Amino acid sequence: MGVKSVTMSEDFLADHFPSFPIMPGVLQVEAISQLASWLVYATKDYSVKGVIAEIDKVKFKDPVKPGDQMTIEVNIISWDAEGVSFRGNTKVNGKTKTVLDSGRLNFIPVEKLEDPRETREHFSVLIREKPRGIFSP
Amino acid sequence: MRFLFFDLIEDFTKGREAIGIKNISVGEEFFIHHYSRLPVFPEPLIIEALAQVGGWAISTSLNYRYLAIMVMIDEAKFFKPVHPGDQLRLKIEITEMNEYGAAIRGTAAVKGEIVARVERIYFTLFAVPSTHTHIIKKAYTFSSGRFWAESDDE
Repeated sequence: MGVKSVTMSEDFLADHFPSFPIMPGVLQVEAISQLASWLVYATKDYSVKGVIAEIDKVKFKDPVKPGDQMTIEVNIISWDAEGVSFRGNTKVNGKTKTVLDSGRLNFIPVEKLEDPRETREHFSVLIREKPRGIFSP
Repeated sequence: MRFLFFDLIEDFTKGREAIGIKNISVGEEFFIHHYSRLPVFPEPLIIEALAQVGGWAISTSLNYRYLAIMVMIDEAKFFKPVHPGDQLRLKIEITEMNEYGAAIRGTAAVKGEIVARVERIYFTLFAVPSTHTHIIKKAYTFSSGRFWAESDDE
Protein backbone atom coordinates (compact mmCIF):
# COMPACT_ATOMS: atom_id res chain seq x y z
CA MET A 1 0.00 0.00 0.00
CA GLY A 2 1.20 3.50 -0.80
CA VAL A 3 0.15 7.04 -0.02
CA LYS A 4 -0.02 10.10 -2.27
CA SER A 5 -1.08 13.44 -0.85
CA VAL A 6 -2.84 15.72 -3.27
CA THR A 7 -2.03 19.40 -2.90
CA MET A 8 -3.34 22.56 -4.54
CA SER A 9 0.23 23.54 -5.47
CA GLU A 10 0.43 20.81 -8.12
CA ASP A 11 0.80 22.62 -11.44
CA PHE A 12 -1.53 20.33 -13.36
CA LEU A 13 -4.52 21.43 -11.28
CA ALA A 14 -4.44 24.75 -13.15
CA ASP A 15 -5.46 22.95 -16.33
CA HIS A 16 -7.38 20.07 -14.79
CA PHE A 17 -9.69 21.81 -14.49
CA PRO A 18 -9.86 25.61 -14.37
CA SER A 19 -11.97 26.40 -11.25
CA PHE A 20 -12.56 22.66 -10.67
CA PRO A 21 -9.26 21.13 -9.50
CA ILE A 22 -9.26 17.32 -9.42
CA MET A 23 -6.42 14.79 -9.53
CA PRO A 24 -6.25 13.53 -13.12
CA GLY A 25 -7.44 9.93 -13.44
CA VAL A 26 -4.48 8.89 -15.57
CA LEU A 27 -2.14 10.10 -12.84
CA GLN A 28 -3.93 7.77 -10.43
CA VAL A 29 -3.29 5.01 -12.96
CA GLU A 30 0.36 6.12 -13.01
CA ALA A 31 0.46 6.11 -9.19
CA ILE A 32 -0.92 2.56 -9.03
CA SER A 33 1.57 1.44 -11.70
CA GLN A 34 4.51 3.10 -9.95
CA LEU A 35 3.61 1.33 -6.72
CA ALA A 36 3.42 -1.99 -8.59
CA SER A 37 6.81 -1.20 -10.15
CA TRP A 38 8.36 -0.62 -6.68
CA LEU A 39 6.91 -3.93 -5.52
CA VAL A 40 8.52 -5.64 -8.51
CA TYR A 41 11.78 -3.81 -7.75
CA ALA A 42 11.87 -4.95 -4.11
CA THR A 43 10.81 -8.50 -4.94
CA LYS A 44 13.40 -8.90 -7.71
CA ASP A 45 16.30 -7.87 -5.44
CA TYR A 46 16.40 -4.26 -6.65
CA SER A 47 17.42 -5.29 -10.15
CA VAL A 48 14.43 -4.47 -12.38
CA LYS A 49 11.61 -1.97 -12.64
CA GLY A 50 8.30 -2.47 -14.38
CA VAL A 51 7.23 -0.34 -17.32
CA ILE A 52 3.60 -0.22 -18.38
CA ALA A 53 2.64 -2.48 -21.27
CA GLU A 54 -1.13 -2.74 -20.79
CA ILE A 55 -3.87 -1.00 -18.83
CA ASP A 56 -7.37 -2.47 -18.88
CA LYS A 57 -10.74 -1.94 -17.19
CA VAL A 58 -10.17 1.31 -15.37
CA LYS A 59 -13.10 3.05 -13.69
CA PHE A 60 -12.91 6.54 -12.27
CA LYS A 61 -15.74 6.45 -9.74
CA ASP A 62 -15.30 9.64 -7.78
CA PRO A 63 -12.94 12.63 -8.03
CA VAL A 64 -9.85 13.04 -5.84
CA LYS A 65 -9.43 16.62 -4.68
CA PRO A 66 -6.71 18.86 -3.25
CA GLY A 67 -6.36 18.15 0.48
CA ASP A 68 -7.17 14.49 0.01
CA GLN A 69 -4.72 11.86 1.10
CA MET A 70 -5.01 9.08 -1.40
CA THR A 71 -4.07 5.54 -0.41
CA ILE A 72 -3.00 3.22 -3.21
CA GLU A 73 -3.29 -0.56 -3.11
CA VAL A 74 -1.80 -2.98 -5.61
CA ASN A 75 -1.86 -6.75 -5.97
CA ILE A 76 0.41 -8.64 -8.29
CA ILE A 77 -1.77 -11.33 -9.85
CA SER A 78 0.88 -13.30 -11.70
CA TRP A 79 4.58 -13.35 -12.52
CA ASP A 80 6.28 -14.67 -15.65
CA ALA A 81 9.69 -14.34 -17.24
CA GLU A 82 8.94 -11.00 -18.95
CA GLY A 83 6.77 -9.21 -16.43
CA VAL A 84 3.78 -9.17 -14.11
CA SER A 85 0.02 -8.74 -14.21
CA PHE A 86 -1.41 -6.54 -11.50
CA ARG A 87 -4.55 -4.84 -10.27
CA GLY A 88 -5.00 -1.88 -7.95
CA ASN A 89 -7.17 0.89 -6.62
CA THR A 90 -7.06 4.28 -4.97
CA LYS A 91 -9.09 5.34 -1.94
CA VAL A 92 -9.60 8.43 0.17
CA ASN A 93 -10.79 7.89 3.76
CA GLY A 94 -11.73 4.33 2.85
CA LYS A 95 -13.87 5.41 -0.08
CA THR A 96 -12.91 3.90 -3.44
CA LYS A 97 -11.99 6.48 -6.07
CA THR A 98 -10.42 4.59 -8.95
CA VAL A 99 -10.21 0.89 -9.76
CA LEU A 100 -7.76 -0.66 -12.22
CA ASP A 101 -8.79 -4.26 -12.83
CA SER A 102 -5.98 -5.47 -14.98
CA GLY A 103 -2.61 -4.11 -15.95
CA ARG A 104 0.70 -5.45 -17.14
CA LEU A 105 4.25 -4.30 -16.47
CA ASN A 106 7.28 -5.52 -18.40
CA PHE A 107 10.61 -5.90 -16.60
CA ILE A 108 13.43 -3.51 -17.54
CA PRO A 109 16.86 -3.65 -15.84
CA VAL A 110 17.11 -0.67 -13.49
CA GLU A 111 20.49 0.41 -14.87
CA LYS A 112 18.96 0.99 -18.29
CA LEU A 113 16.55 3.53 -16.82
CA GLU A 114 18.38 5.10 -13.90
CA ASP A 115 21.49 5.12 -11.74
CA PRO A 116 20.79 2.03 -9.60
CA ARG A 117 22.28 3.68 -6.50
CA GLU A 118 19.87 6.60 -6.79
CA THR A 119 16.95 4.23 -7.33
CA ARG A 120 17.90 2.31 -4.18
CA GLU A 121 18.23 5.60 -2.29
CA HIS A 122 14.79 6.72 -3.50
CA PHE A 123 13.30 3.40 -2.43
CA SER A 124 14.79 3.64 1.06
CA VAL A 125 13.24 7.10 1.43
CA LEU A 126 9.86 5.76 0.28
CA ILE A 127 9.84 2.94 2.81
CA ARG A 128 11.29 5.20 5.56
CA GLU A 129 14.28 2.95 5.93
CA LYS A 130 17.02 4.30 8.17
CA PRO A 131 18.90 7.09 6.38
CA ARG A 132 21.52 6.05 3.86
CA GLY A 133 23.92 8.04 1.72
CA ILE A 134 25.01 11.46 2.94
CA PHE A 135 22.95 11.20 6.12
CA SER A 136 24.41 7.91 7.27
CA PRO A 137 27.38 8.01 9.63
CA MET B 1 3.68 19.94 -15.03
CA ARG B 2 0.94 21.51 -17.11
CA PHE B 3 -1.83 19.24 -18.25
CA LEU B 4 -2.34 20.03 -21.92
CA PHE B 5 -1.53 17.03 -24.06
CA PHE B 6 -2.13 18.05 -27.63
CA ASP B 7 -0.69 21.00 -29.50
CA LEU B 8 -2.74 21.00 -32.65
CA ILE B 9 -5.83 19.50 -34.22
CA GLU B 10 -4.69 18.49 -37.66
CA ASP B 11 -7.96 17.08 -38.96
CA PHE B 12 -11.52 16.89 -37.69
CA THR B 13 -14.79 15.47 -39.00
CA LYS B 14 -17.69 16.53 -36.81
CA GLY B 15 -19.22 13.66 -34.86
CA ARG B 16 -16.77 11.14 -36.29
CA GLU B 17 -13.05 11.52 -35.94
CA ALA B 18 -10.12 13.78 -35.21
CA ILE B 19 -6.35 13.77 -35.48
CA GLY B 20 -4.31 15.64 -32.90
CA ILE B 21 -0.58 16.30 -32.76
CA LYS B 22 1.56 16.28 -29.61
CA ASN B 23 5.23 17.13 -29.76
CA ILE B 24 7.32 15.47 -27.09
CA SER B 25 9.88 17.92 -25.72
CA VAL B 26 12.86 17.11 -23.51
CA GLY B 27 11.93 20.23 -21.53
CA GLU B 28 8.88 18.53 -20.03
CA GLU B 29 9.40 18.26 -16.30
CA PHE B 30 8.58 14.61 -15.72
CA PHE B 31 11.52 13.46 -17.87
CA ILE B 32 13.84 14.28 -14.94
CA HIS B 33 12.46 11.28 -13.07
CA HIS B 34 10.93 9.22 -15.84
CA TYR B 35 13.67 8.11 -16.25
CA SER B 36 16.93 9.83 -15.37
CA ARG B 37 18.99 7.75 -17.83
CA LEU B 38 16.34 7.15 -20.44
CA PRO B 39 13.55 9.69 -20.89
CA VAL B 40 10.28 7.88 -21.68
CA PHE B 41 6.94 9.65 -22.12
CA PRO B 42 4.71 8.17 -19.36
CA GLU B 43 2.23 5.72 -20.88
CA PRO B 44 -0.85 6.97 -18.98
CA LEU B 45 -0.22 10.39 -20.51
CA ILE B 46 -0.65 8.86 -23.97
CA ILE B 47 -4.11 7.75 -22.81
CA GLU B 48 -4.69 11.28 -21.50
CA ALA B 49 -3.56 12.79 -24.82
CA LEU B 50 -6.03 10.58 -26.72
CA ALA B 51 -8.74 11.43 -24.20
CA GLN B 52 -8.07 15.15 -24.58
CA VAL B 53 -8.29 14.99 -28.37
CA GLY B 54 -11.44 12.86 -27.91
CA GLY B 55 -12.94 15.31 -25.41
CA TRP B 56 -12.18 18.18 -27.76
CA ALA B 57 -13.81 16.38 -30.70
CA ILE B 58 -16.89 15.39 -28.68
CA SER B 59 -17.42 18.84 -27.24
CA THR B 60 -16.83 20.54 -30.58
CA SER B 61 -19.22 18.10 -32.31
CA LEU B 62 -21.89 19.07 -29.74
CA ASN B 63 -21.33 22.79 -30.37
CA TYR B 64 -19.64 23.27 -26.97
CA ARG B 65 -22.89 22.53 -25.12
CA TYR B 66 -21.22 19.68 -23.18
CA LEU B 67 -17.86 18.97 -21.59
CA ALA B 68 -16.59 15.40 -21.72
CA ILE B 69 -14.95 13.92 -18.60
CA MET B 70 -13.16 10.57 -18.86
CA VAL B 71 -14.67 7.92 -16.56
CA MET B 72 -13.52 4.58 -18.00
CA ILE B 73 -10.57 3.12 -19.91
CA ASP B 74 -10.68 -0.30 -21.60
CA GLU B 75 -7.79 -2.15 -23.20
CA ALA B 76 -4.91 0.24 -23.54
CA LYS B 77 -1.79 -1.31 -25.02
CA PHE B 78 1.66 0.18 -25.40
CA PHE B 79 3.93 -1.26 -28.06
CA LYS B 80 6.94 1.02 -28.11
CA PRO B 81 8.40 3.70 -25.82
CA VAL B 82 7.98 7.34 -26.82
CA HIS B 83 10.97 9.65 -26.36
CA PRO B 84 11.72 13.38 -26.56
CA GLY B 85 11.89 14.51 -30.18
CA ASP B 86 9.04 12.23 -31.20
CA GLN B 87 5.84 13.63 -32.59
CA LEU B 88 2.70 11.78 -31.52
CA ARG B 89 -0.08 11.57 -34.03
CA LEU B 90 -3.25 10.96 -32.02
CA LYS B 91 -6.04 9.54 -34.11
CA ILE B 92 -9.42 9.10 -32.47
CA GLU B 93 -12.77 7.89 -33.64
CA ILE B 94 -16.04 8.69 -31.86
CA THR B 95 -17.84 5.35 -31.42
CA GLU B 96 -20.79 6.40 -29.25
CA MET B 97 -22.38 9.74 -28.50
CA ASN B 98 -25.66 10.61 -26.83
CA GLU B 99 -26.85 13.07 -24.20
CA TYR B 100 -25.41 11.03 -21.30
CA GLY B 101 -22.05 10.02 -22.56
CA ALA B 102 -19.68 9.34 -25.40
CA ALA B 103 -16.92 6.91 -26.25
CA ILE B 104 -13.86 6.90 -28.47
CA ARG B 105 -11.20 4.52 -29.62
CA GLY B 106 -7.80 5.71 -30.66
CA THR B 107 -4.23 5.10 -31.69
CA ALA B 108 -1.03 7.03 -31.14
CA ALA B 109 1.62 6.81 -33.84
CA VAL B 110 5.19 8.06 -34.27
CA LYS B 111 6.48 8.34 -37.85
CA GLY B 112 3.60 6.18 -39.09
CA GLU B 113 4.21 3.39 -36.60
CA ILE B 114 1.52 2.73 -34.00
CA VAL B 115 3.02 2.98 -30.49
CA ALA B 116 -0.19 2.71 -28.44
CA ARG B 117 -3.80 1.76 -28.91
CA VAL B 118 -6.87 2.22 -26.70
CA GLU B 119 -10.02 0.24 -27.52
CA ARG B 120 -12.43 2.37 -25.55
CA ILE B 121 -12.41 5.52 -23.46
CA TYR B 122 -15.83 6.40 -22.06
CA PHE B 123 -16.79 9.95 -21.08
CA THR B 124 -19.62 11.39 -19.04
CA LEU B 125 -21.03 14.60 -20.47
CA PHE B 126 -21.59 17.68 -18.37
CA ALA B 127 -23.97 20.28 -19.74
CA VAL B 128 -22.45 23.73 -20.18
CA PRO B 129 -24.86 26.59 -19.35
CA SER B 130 -25.74 28.45 -22.56
CA THR B 131 -24.23 31.58 -21.01
CA HIS B 132 -20.84 29.84 -20.96
CA THR B 133 -20.64 28.00 -24.27
CA HIS B 134 -18.75 30.91 -25.86
CA ILE B 135 -16.00 30.55 -23.21
CA ILE B 136 -15.59 26.85 -24.03
CA LYS B 137 -15.63 27.64 -27.72
CA LYS B 138 -12.88 30.20 -27.32
CA ALA B 139 -10.73 27.89 -25.16
CA TYR B 140 -11.22 24.92 -27.48
CA THR B 141 -10.55 26.92 -30.62
CA PHE B 142 -7.34 28.17 -29.00
CA SER B 143 -6.21 24.71 -27.87
CA SER B 144 -6.84 23.30 -31.34
CA GLY B 145 -4.10 25.52 -32.73
CA ARG B 146 -6.50 26.49 -35.54
CA PHE B 147 -6.94 30.09 -34.44
CA TRP B 148 -7.66 31.08 -38.00
CA ALA B 149 -10.15 28.31 -38.76
CA GLU B 150 -13.35 29.85 -37.47
CA SER B 151 -14.57 33.39 -37.24
CA ASP B 152 -16.36 34.55 -34.08
CA ASP B 153 -19.71 35.05 -35.76
CA GLU B 154 -21.89 32.06 -36.28
